[in-house]
Amino acid sequence: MKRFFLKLFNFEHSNRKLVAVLVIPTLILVVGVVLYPLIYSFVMSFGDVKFANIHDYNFVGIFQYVRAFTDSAFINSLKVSATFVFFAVLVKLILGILIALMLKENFVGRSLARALIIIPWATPFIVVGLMWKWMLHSKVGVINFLLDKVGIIESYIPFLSTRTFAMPCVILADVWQGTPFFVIIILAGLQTIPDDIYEAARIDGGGAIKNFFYITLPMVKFPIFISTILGTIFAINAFDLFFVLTRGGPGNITTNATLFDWYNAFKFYHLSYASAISYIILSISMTITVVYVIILRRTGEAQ
Amino acid sequence: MKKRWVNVKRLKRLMLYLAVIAVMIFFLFPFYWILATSIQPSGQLYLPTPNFIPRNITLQNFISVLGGGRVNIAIALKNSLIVAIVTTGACIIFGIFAAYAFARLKFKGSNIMFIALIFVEMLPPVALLIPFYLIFKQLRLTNTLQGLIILQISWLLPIVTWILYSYFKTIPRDLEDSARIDGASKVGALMRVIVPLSLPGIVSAGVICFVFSMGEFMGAMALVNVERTQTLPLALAQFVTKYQIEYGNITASAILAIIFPVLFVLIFQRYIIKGLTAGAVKE
Repeated sequence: MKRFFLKLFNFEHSNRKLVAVLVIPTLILVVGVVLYPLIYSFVMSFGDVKFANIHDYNFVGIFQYVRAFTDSAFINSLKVSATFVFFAVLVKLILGILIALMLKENFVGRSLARALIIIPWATPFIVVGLMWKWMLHSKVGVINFLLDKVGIIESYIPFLSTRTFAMPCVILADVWQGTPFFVIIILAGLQTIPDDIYEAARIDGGGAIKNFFYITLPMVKFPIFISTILGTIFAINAFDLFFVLTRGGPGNITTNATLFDWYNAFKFYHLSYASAISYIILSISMTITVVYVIILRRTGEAQ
Repeated sequence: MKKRWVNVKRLKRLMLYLAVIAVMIFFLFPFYWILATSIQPSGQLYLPTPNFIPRNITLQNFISVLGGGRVNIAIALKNSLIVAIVTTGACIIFGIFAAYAFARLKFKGSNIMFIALIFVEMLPPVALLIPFYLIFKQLRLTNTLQGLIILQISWLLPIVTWILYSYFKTIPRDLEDSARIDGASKVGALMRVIVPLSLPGIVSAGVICFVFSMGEFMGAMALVNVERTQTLPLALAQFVTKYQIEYGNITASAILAIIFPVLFVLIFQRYIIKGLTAGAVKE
């Protein structure tokens, strides 16, 4: 028996055995807990499964997909997702670049500032949502108080239940939580730019703005690209903030595709319909991921 | 001429400091605000002019949420910590194994498997929720911490493996080879050379995993609907959905929910920056 185990765990002569032992736990988890469910819901999206009897499977072909694309509520949720992704990522990217440039400068307290700016990233989304819900409170919110004091608004605004402000408020909370991630990645990119490039540019007489567009930006193209792609995928999957801040309202003005999907699955129990919607969201994410992987591999080969 | 140049430089410094202050206020004020809210009695919270400096400081809100108020935060905190610690431990162990195999042992299908891992990381969690719920229900894993741990490991293992992989890649192969010549076994070389040298990477992957685990909400909401096994994000969301919102209690619970992730991130911030930028910066 002992000899058997000694032989089993002797990896000196065979790489293959070692690989198997090392990779199998990850493989089991990833295949078992991700791939199997994916197939499960793919099959379900072509049926008509009710929560009451999940074993009652009627094959209905692409009916659920046709239904989705003719459902104005779903089309609306896609538009909400697109608006959120576009503005949240754009603002985070611009702020990320500006703050990263700022944190690259020399100033007293720079390392403290760099350390503290990560904290919002470590804050759970639910807490972020509650934090901003409290600050945006319609009667005693600090934001209403300050805006009123400064004279920007004439009376307190119930931001989260107002059609004009609900979405900008969710974006604001998301920007607060997500900008540090952009800052960290872009700042790391900025730090790889050698100082002598700027020195050379200074001798050539380039101005600050010219330097930014002709030196800085091209040098951090890759980190910017990566953070944008990852930011886009996070934003497509955004759920917690919407759930806490607006629950999709007022009306369906902040019901993004993820929230719409979740409502269909866990509130209305339209399991097949929700699965079809999941697959539509998944196809969009995966298309973006393909671009990401292609670029990663290209730059990997270029190294 | 020279004097003017100095002034421009001074003006630039001034603007830089103003920008730094504005940015830091934007990112830190919300923390101050919930802290200030959490240590005041509720009578102080609904005034026409909010107290920018807390008055009548009290720990009543913390005592109330930890002492089994309507939403029991003590249980939720314990559950969250158990799930996060076990998940992080398992992810690190399995992650080291897999990352080592991907980084060092060329094997058939390693490329495909590695790309598959990135794809899994990018999958929208909502797409997995329905089958997760149904499968876990059949396995009697709903409403259990084990169920949450399995779910989180499968979601976080890819990112941990990815961070560790990019770390292992930076360790010179020679070091491992010389250990092998000195008679170390393959596993010995991994444990005695690679693991100690990539400790920063392991810490970074661990803290990132812990932070994500402490914040995970959507999966927990699908799997758990009893107080006994609910995690902090679930308990916090309940304040909004089930009961009248009481911000003194909410902010106290929020402070308890962020204290561990924030402390870890501050202590290990250098490592985390390296972990987060793994693969994002060409070196």
